[in-house]
Amino acid sequence: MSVLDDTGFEACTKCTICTEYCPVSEANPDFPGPKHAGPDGERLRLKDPAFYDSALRHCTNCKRCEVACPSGVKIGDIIQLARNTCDTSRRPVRDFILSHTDLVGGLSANRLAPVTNALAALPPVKKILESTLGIASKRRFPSYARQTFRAWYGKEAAAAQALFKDQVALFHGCYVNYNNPALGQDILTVLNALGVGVQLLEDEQCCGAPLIAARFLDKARANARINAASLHEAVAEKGLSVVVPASTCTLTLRNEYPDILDMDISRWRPRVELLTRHLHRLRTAGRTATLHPLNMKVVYHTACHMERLGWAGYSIDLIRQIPGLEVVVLPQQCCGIAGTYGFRKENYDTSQTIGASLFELIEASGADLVVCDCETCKWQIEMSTSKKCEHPATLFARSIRGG
Amino acid sequence: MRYDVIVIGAGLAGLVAGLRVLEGGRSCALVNAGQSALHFSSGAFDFLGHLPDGTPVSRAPDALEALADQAPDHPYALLGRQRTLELGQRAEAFLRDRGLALDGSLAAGNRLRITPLGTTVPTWLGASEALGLDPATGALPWKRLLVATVEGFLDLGADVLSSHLAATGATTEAAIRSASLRLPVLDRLRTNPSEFRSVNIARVLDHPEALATLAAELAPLARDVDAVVLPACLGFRSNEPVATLSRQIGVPVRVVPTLPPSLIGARFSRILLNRFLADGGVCMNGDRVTGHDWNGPSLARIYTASHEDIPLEADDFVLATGSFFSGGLTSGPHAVRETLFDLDLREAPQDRAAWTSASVFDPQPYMHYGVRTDATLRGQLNGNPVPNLHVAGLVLGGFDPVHLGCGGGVALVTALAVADRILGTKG
Repeated sequence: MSVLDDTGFEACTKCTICTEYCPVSEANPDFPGPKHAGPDGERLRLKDPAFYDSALRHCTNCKRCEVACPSGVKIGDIIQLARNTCDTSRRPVRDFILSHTDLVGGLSANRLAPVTNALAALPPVKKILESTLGIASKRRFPSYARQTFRAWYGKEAAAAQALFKDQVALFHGCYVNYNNPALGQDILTVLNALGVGVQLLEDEQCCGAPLIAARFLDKARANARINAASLHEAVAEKGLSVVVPASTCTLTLRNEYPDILDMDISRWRPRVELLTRHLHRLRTAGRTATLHPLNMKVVYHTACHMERLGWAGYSIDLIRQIPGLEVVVLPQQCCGIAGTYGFRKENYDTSQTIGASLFELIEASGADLVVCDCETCKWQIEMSTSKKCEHPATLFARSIRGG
Repeated sequence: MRYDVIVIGAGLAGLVAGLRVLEGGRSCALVNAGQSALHFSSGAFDFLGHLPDGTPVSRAPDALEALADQAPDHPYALLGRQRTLELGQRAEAFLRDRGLALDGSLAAGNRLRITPLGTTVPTWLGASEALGLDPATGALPWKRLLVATVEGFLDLGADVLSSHLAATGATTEAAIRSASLRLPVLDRLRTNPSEFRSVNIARVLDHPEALATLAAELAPLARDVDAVVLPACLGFRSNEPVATLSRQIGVPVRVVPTLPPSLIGARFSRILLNRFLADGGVCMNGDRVTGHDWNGPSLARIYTASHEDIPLEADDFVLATGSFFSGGLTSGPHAVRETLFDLDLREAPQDRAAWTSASVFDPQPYMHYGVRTDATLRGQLNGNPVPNLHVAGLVLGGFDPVHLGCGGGVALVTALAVADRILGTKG
């Protein structure tokens, strides 16, 4: 049942704690905060959708309001559903481009990628993208790979992976496929070292997180149907667990499909989980790899959707196994990028204001590296600080390889 | 997942118990079902304000024997006077060491803090920037006072505050001037009157440029006063902006806590939680316990909404889930229960009519209901202690924290007591 059909918002006691933990309302007073935008506004919108307040566009769907709520109200879901059902304003071309990651990634991740990347980094090109489309010119764009992860896997890895007795399926996500196939290879290194082979899903589309944020709900549903069929096949027919490296993809598949897209995913949901959570299961089952010391200090940043999943502990415990590694967990706060949000011209300043205190903490930490399960946090942190940011699996793979 | 200690509840008791076991070298995870009651608190911690018979307490150390006579089930009585005082004194240093700027001590006796209505409440530790009466004289430490509120801010009224303050005898109406600050820098916030709250205001005023406009508007009004009182709408992350403002206008600035959400309480919560992470603790925020397994008489593991089939295992568990409002206790038509493990309760009759007094201002019997323990503060099932389930804070039974004014003290003292027991340093 979708949030709109029930009265879960009635559990709100108006305590305003959610607003206190809302990164957007702190940086941008034009956003009235989650209580007002969510449960308060919902009462009015249920009477007449015309009461929809366009200020809801400022919500980044970070879900920190839901984590803070002492009464269990799904505030973020209420706001996302209202944006998708009540806001009838035109969707700019820019939002189409930013949210259709498969289309843009498919066009960019090929042999011409070095050229595309170089072009996209040129200040005049960025200026044009800003003035014509509204993409923030100050933002550093993620670079694309010369070959997608799927293409590499098919050519270089599939046969060897099939030899393992135990198998999992990988929902690699757009980032691994188009931007960072090396992370996909790291994931294979880690799982293979634990005696597990990795298969890809029959078909995989973008999980839909950027589509929901940009109000392309029909396209999000179309993607979700394809993904749900693949996940169902992997789990129910092949009996595989499915691992997902990115916290936002994981949250979208497991929580947004039922809560925002109103899908019944009960048959595969329990077997689809965050990569580091599955690695915890393997370790509990007695599977260990030989780890080499990494003598360095890292700080772990908990991405907003990781916080909502409640699973940061799996990633933190994973890297704490690495000998020689000093791990410090940063305070729980948003980095400001919120997926495609920080790429929009009008959000750039809000995005950087939200993240400013986190960037200061990272700079002052003396860490050699930042670790995070979210790729857009990685882009934001690498652009806004002097540190590199890597996925826990990359670090773990490095420890397995011995440097 | 396995930790040495799992703490359920991240209010004052849970945070302090978690921080203490980390200090003792144990690994610890904190399961936190939404933000805690600290966010509703005044940012002050009481130890003991009244005895059950209504006698006001000025020095808690002198009243603990009478308390034990009148309320033998009170956690202070279970722990004993000497142990309670020792733990209370340790709590003072413990909180200061972890970054809370607090005035007060058990040795100095209760101070009177000022409520948003201008009445006084006995307290033990209070935010150092909060307005209080001089413990020695019972008067305000300053003669002439400016009470300045913010135009459009509904959570503190300058006139109500002033007249009630005068009625306490701590000052006179003539000595207090009130003013309403225009602060155009807040106009963007004012477009949402229902969201014109302490936290939203502080997040704007804490910026140096905004703070400078506040100082500029306040300075001429504050020329002939000895101190300025503001609603607690300043200092979201630290109390530094209050000190800065004081320097800028040249007179001391004190704040009065407003209606919830509590700026100061939330700041305390954030400081302690961040310290917990920095000390190596693992936080499971926005999660709630959904099930558990026993291993003989002990608690083997718990299950939570986020972790589903993966259990959380520990040698020791701390139950610090709070009272009814926080969900630690649940009331049904005919029974009050401890929510997670159905532990034995102290009192809590089945007759629903006996739970409440007719007047809301009278002490309420249900406030005494809570988990039954002996001096070891372990939960009990059918009279048998659960060896590794330690109970701290307001989920405990046997006392009325509102009537006695002792909730903060019970949370801190019992949290340190259970942590000591887990670490094997006592009992």
